[in-house]
Amino acid sequence: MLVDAPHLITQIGIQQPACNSLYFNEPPQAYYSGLAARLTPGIQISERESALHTIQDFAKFESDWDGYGALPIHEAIVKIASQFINSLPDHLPCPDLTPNTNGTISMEWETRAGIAHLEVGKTRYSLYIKRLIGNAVLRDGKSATLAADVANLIGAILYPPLHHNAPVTRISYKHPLHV
Amino acid sequence: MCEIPIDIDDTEVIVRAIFEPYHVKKGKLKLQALKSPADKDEVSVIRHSYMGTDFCKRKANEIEAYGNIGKEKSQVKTYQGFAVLKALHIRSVGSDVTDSRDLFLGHADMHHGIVLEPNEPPESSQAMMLSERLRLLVDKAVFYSDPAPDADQWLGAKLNPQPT
Repeated sequence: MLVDAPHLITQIGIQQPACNSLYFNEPPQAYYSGLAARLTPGIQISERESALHTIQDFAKFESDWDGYGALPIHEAIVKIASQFINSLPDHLPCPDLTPNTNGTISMEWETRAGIAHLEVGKTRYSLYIKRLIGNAVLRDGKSATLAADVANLIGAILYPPLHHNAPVTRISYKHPLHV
Repeated sequence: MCEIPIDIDDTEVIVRAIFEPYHVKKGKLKLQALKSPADKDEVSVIRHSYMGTDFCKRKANEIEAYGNIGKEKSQVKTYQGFAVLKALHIRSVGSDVTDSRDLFLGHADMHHGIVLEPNEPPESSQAMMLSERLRLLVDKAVFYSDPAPDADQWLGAKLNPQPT
């Protein structure tokens, strides 16, 4: 005989709040530090080394490296760009690196959330993040102050932490005769 | 007597010679391919409608040869082909193209309205504007990879811009 089986349904909550509210309440670094290792792909050491190697290659450029009068990349810019790559938090992948005709270095990240473009100069940097939804984020500053907060800003907008919308449900069955 | 008008008509085909290593990536044009050097708002192009493909090819080879004199192998730039646009494409994104025959007959310059400072980035708002403009232009451009870069003449397909 079939018996209506009582089901015990237990919701297992994930202790992870929605990313938007937390991001604005806490510094991005604090938020990512606990999540990066398990929720987002980390930056690979080889990837970082490869980026640093690419920047060192830029340093070898001579005048007119593009055939149209491009300037060589100044050693101060190479140093600042290298330091920034070394300071990238683990949750942020290495950017696409490009030398510019006026002697600066551009770093670009592109995801489905938008595009971030950081251009590093001898004394200044400029950053824009063009989001797929919402206004662009603009920031200008001194190269000497280029630090992890810029990387965290890029990470927070383009690489928001993964989170589950659906609750994880455990379903167990207890046969009434075995209670 | 020169029969090329100074004014560039919207229908004119404009080409830019493209060089490795930083104008193309995986066969796709990079924004840097259409960027001006420091202290100038001039991106060198050739008026293909009047000069023809073989002339453009010879000029590209000249730039390559001149630019590689005395350079180490790792520093050598190599001619790859042409980015092809119509003048209207350039103007439709807010840039312009004007004749500059003082360099050579058939030479012209694209202007994006921004002069880049040596070793410093433009302000973020300008950088975004320039990048977006270059992105649109790269989308409108057709890149023709040269099947025989060392040949004296163009041996590839006819250079056709995207329809406007």
